[in-house]
Amino acid sequence: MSDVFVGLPRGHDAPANAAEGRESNPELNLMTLAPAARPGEVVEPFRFTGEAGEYFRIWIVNTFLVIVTIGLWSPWAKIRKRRFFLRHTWVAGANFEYHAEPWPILHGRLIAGAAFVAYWFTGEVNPRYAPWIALIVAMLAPWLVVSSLRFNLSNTSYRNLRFRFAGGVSDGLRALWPLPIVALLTLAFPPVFDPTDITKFDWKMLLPTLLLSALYPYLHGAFRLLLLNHSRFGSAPIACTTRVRTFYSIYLRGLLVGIGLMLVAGLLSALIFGAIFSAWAGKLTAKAKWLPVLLGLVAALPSAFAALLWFAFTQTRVINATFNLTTVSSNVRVFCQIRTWPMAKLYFGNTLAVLLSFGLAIPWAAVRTAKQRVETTALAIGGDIDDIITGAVSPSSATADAATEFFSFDVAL
Amino acid sequence: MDASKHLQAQWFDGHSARRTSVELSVSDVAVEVRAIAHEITSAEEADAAAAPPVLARVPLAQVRVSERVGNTPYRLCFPDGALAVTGDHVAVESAFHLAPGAHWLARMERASWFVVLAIAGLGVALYFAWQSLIPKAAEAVAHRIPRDAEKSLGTITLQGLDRWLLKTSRLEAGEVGAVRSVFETLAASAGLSDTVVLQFRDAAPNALALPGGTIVVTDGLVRLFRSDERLLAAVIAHEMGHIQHRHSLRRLLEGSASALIVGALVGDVSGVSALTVNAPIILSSLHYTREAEREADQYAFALLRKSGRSPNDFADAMRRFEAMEFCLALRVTAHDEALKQSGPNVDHRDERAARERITDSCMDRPDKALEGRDGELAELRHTDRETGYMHTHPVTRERIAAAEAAASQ
Repeated sequence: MSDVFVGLPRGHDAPANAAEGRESNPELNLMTLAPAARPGEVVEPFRFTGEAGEYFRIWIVNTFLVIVTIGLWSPWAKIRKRRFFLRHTWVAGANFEYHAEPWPILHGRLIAGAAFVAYWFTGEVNPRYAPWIALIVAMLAPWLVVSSLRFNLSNTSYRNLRFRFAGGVSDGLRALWPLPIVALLTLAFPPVFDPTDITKFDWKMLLPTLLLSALYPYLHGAFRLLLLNHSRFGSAPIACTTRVRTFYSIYLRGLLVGIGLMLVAGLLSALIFGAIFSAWAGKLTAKAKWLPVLLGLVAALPSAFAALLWFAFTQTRVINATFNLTTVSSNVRVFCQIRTWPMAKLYFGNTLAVLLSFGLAIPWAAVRTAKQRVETTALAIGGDIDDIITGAVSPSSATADAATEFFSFDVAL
Repeated sequence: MDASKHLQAQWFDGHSARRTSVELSVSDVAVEVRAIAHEITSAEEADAAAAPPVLARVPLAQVRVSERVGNTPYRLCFPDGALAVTGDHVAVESAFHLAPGAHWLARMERASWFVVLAIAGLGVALYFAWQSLIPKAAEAVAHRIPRDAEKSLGTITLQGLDRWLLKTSRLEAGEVGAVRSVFETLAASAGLSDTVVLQFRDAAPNALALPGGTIVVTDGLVRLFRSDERLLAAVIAHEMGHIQHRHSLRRLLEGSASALIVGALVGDVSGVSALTVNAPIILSSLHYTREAEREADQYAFALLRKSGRSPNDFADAMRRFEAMEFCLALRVTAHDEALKQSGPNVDHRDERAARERITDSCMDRPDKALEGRDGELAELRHTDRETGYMHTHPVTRERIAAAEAAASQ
């Protein structure tokens, strides 16, 4: 579920529905979220009512169909899976809906697939051309990203009103301008490294990587703000006042935490690895066939956990920093208290379960990840919910919709 | 109207975000939507309750019921764009005369037998794709790509290898000439004279087939085989098999196909460690390289026979290789123990010199080191066999057996 919907409110509360009545996660809830509400505001937490067993059936049947149709079923599978997640996401008594039609998705995926094959093939067979293709992709990126956002938002609704992405290609360009520059630098200073002759080392070849690292927080921040600042719910604008410099402070702290984690995990992995292999692996491998792989996995676990902890650290900070400064139609505030440690534990559990079940735990992992992420979010609504959101009316321009349909397609693979 | 069925829902008119609790009265011909009385909180509640406003009244056929996804609520779409959402699945299905899961997909997802079938089917399909579909498709695609397209990849690979691993060959003219004449005879009888090019480099015993048709023979190989043209022909024929079957290109294609499939399966869930994605990809690509080696071996057997030689030559070449590998394995461990005894202040330059001496001795007389060490040899072979799934090449014993079987035909 790594997609643009991280930027959308989702959740649940459906008093009059039969689907209602399930327990919400006690760890994350109103109690922690309520103090953030101002006087006169009503807190409406998001809820996720989907269950692992229910999703397993959908997942396995659609995955099976995707594999036996050599991928052609994937748009239908995507729609069905996304409908499961959005329809199970409730807030303030209503759920979300995904409206996309399969054919535009298939169309987009075929184009993206062909482009990817061309890129991959040229890159592998003649690596000299790879940076040129990367440059072309980088120059097309603003258009691709904006089209994809448009498609996904205009195909999502809440309370029978569609979301909309009102940004244009120029907004995409403003967020993604570093990409073509990095691609150009790579062309100018190709990374050719000769380890046998260190004197010939040319520092200029590090320029593209350095520039990309220096601008990565900007790219991530600008991309997220592109989504949050140019979206509409019906006619109500969504806005986020987070600054790009917040992303720099998050990533700088992330860098320090990452270095610390790498040292600790590297040491632990090396200790486990060394102990296992020097002491008894040689004798055991002769007896148990799969032991080397299992032992290798055990030794890799500290590093895997450290990587997930680091991922959770930056991810949760970015989510909190942006959602907590996001408003819909000036009267609805989003707030979010997603925490690093529970997310890291969840991701680690997912990794282990997926590995040990040979992939069959994927639906379970997806559902509990969605639940954790949805249920750490809430809306603070100043006044009666219906009256407030009534300000969000559906735009009645049919031509705008048609143009959106024609020029947008889903490129997310 | 008494025959009509009633169900409760949330009503959204499609023009504003307002939510209204409603009751739907569904008869065989029409649907009527009324706000539920207690929603109206004005002073005239009693009066209003007597006649709650009708929000919509439309023919039954014009109401579109969404497909059911798991236990998510039904969506009833009205012709004017209004929407009723209800989690009362039973009431909707009876009012609109739907079998539970009327949609074929929903029916499959609900049927436990189909779910079990899908699990098994997915397993079988993935196995089939891995074992047969991916290799066959990669083969078909690879043979349609012109050889010239591969050549630049070969050139770049060789440039990289020259920088990292290979040195200029120090073979004498006589040795070079002998290998070249073997090479040219084989190329002619394989019909690959226009494709393959022979190159010499100084490195440990090995031979490489690069994309585009370059075959590299190392000084170490010529030395290990003591210029025995029987053994050299066997290894060169094997490398020609890689060229003929376009193995380097196929390995690229197979690797990408397995990465794509694993990505499609695992891509559903974020925050799963890279471990989950990479482990199956690595194990499956190792399987593909072993298959390629077997195919090149079979090609070598046929080519050797065609040019008046015997697959037994290949078996002998593999025996020499195995002897060298085991000799190295035994001597290096013995050497390590000697190092441990000599205390912590080991001169590392000495260690390198010692390692070179070991390599030299194993290259020149590999069989000698293995004399009278049958127990250790058997153990090494057993370990090799048991951990075969982690190797890029099939177990040497298996290759020798295949060569002998081919020779006895």
